Amino acid sequence: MTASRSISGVLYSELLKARTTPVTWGFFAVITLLTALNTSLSLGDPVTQVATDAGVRHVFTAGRDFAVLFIALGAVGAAGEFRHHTAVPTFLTTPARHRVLIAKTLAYAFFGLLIAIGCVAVQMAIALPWIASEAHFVSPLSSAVAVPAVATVLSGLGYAAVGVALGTLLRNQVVALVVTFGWFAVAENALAAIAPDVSRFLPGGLFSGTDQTDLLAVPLALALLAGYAVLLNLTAARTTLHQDV
Amino acid sequence: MAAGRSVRSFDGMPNSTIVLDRVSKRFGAITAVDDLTFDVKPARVTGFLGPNGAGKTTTLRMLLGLAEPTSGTATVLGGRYADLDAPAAAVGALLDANTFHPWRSARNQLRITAAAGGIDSGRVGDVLHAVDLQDAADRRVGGFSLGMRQRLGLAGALLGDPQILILDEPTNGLDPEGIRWLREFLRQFAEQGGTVLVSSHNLAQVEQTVDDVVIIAGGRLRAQCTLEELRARTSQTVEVRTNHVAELRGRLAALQIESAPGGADRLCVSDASPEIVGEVAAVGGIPLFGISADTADLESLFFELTAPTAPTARIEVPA
Repeated sequence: MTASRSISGVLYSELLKARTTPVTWGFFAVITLLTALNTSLSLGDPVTQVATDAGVRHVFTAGRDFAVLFIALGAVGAAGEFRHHTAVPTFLTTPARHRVLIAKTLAYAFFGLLIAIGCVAVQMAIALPWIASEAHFVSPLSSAVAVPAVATVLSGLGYAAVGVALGTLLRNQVVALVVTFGWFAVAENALAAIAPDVSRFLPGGLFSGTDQTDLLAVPLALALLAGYAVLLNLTAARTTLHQDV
Repeated sequence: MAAGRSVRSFDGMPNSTIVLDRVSKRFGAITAVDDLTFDVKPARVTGFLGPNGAGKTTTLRMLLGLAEPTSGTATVLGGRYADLDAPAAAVGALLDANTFHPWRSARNQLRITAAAGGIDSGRVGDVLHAVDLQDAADRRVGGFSLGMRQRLGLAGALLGDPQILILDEPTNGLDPEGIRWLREFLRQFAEQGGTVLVSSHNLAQVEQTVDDVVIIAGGRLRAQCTLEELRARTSQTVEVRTNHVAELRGRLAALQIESAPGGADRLCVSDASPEIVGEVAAVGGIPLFGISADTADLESLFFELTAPTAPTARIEVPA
């Protein structure tokens, strides 16, 4: 069996796992609903000036407040293998565990991408007619819409990959969720308060509020997110992935 | 065969498909498996026996690459499990009936395994049919009984049409019909040249199935031999009902077979099989009204071998 054939089979297996796990679709529903709600609140906020590019960008970055949920999706999916003991048949069929980790990361990145596309579609379905109703025409291809949309889609992919690494490292769904939410809600805020310049380099601060001028450029932020995903996955591959199951 | 140490197989040929060579596993201060060496050969059903907590599951996990031995080597088909080219086609394993996502259907569980193992998805329907789960194939596993989950685990083990089956307490939760089916299946699998290693804490449960036994307790090997050799070590008692007690006793004594009257029409014969006693009676024209063998002694020997105070001894087939 060639390595490429083997990894494609494992990838299909991991995609099938994610697709047949209700929690994946639960996250899909929750993230898109929250995005719809947040987009509506942004549009309804009197401070938002939809007549300006900055205002439109602000509306289309609303979904990114839920980056933590993309991490949670990957973390719950990866740690779920240990909760439900499905890691046993998984590692029996594919003893080369790094292949499982690569395939799972790709599978959840795909579902992160899919959910993020859903979020962007929902945002467009709500915001574009809303803005048009206020006599302002905004093209979906304009930079004020397209750049945050692309960033949302690709960050969804990256955050889900980070989540898989966290779930594999911690091997416990509850602990993975506590660590994820604790990092976003407490640790990053504390770090931002102590060292504001560092905030934009941290996982949670890479994209939040892209309309703010002090954030990293989207390509650089995406590259940094990819770096976090690779670093955490490598750490998992070298530590907990090889522990007894 | 493990490198650097020759482990003799039952017939003296180095053809063992599973070899454990001085395998130990420690969890902190606890030694779960201690310097365990045994081998399993093809076309045989080998019972891996021991009381609960003896180290059976830990041993099987090390054999299957799910746990790393603290020392020693465990090999399957001459190499580490993790190095097998196509593990699902080489080894089918059932370690736990609770290794399924409760929200997935039985069919999807197997499709996932088939995809990862490079197995044709058409096998999924075949194995579900083989374990009689075809009618429940699209139901969520969370609603399955223990017996159904055990059958699904067996289906997963058979998916790759493997050469070796490694089953940990597979009869747990199975109904009598399921146990009988499993016995027949394992016998047939071995007769076709397959290797079967089946663990159990209950010798009586596997007695009708196994050819060879490996008995462990406290993580240490207590015996490795054929079932017949284990039986030979027991002092079997045969109880006979006849109205010619004295005459039968005399004929048995002439053959140096000890016996003692157990009542007016009963005789208890030691260290002889029912076949021999029956033959002696037939030759002497002695009518028998009943004959039974006390098989509890095999169980007693098992308890004796696995008792915490029992010395570690290995029963081996003479070369």
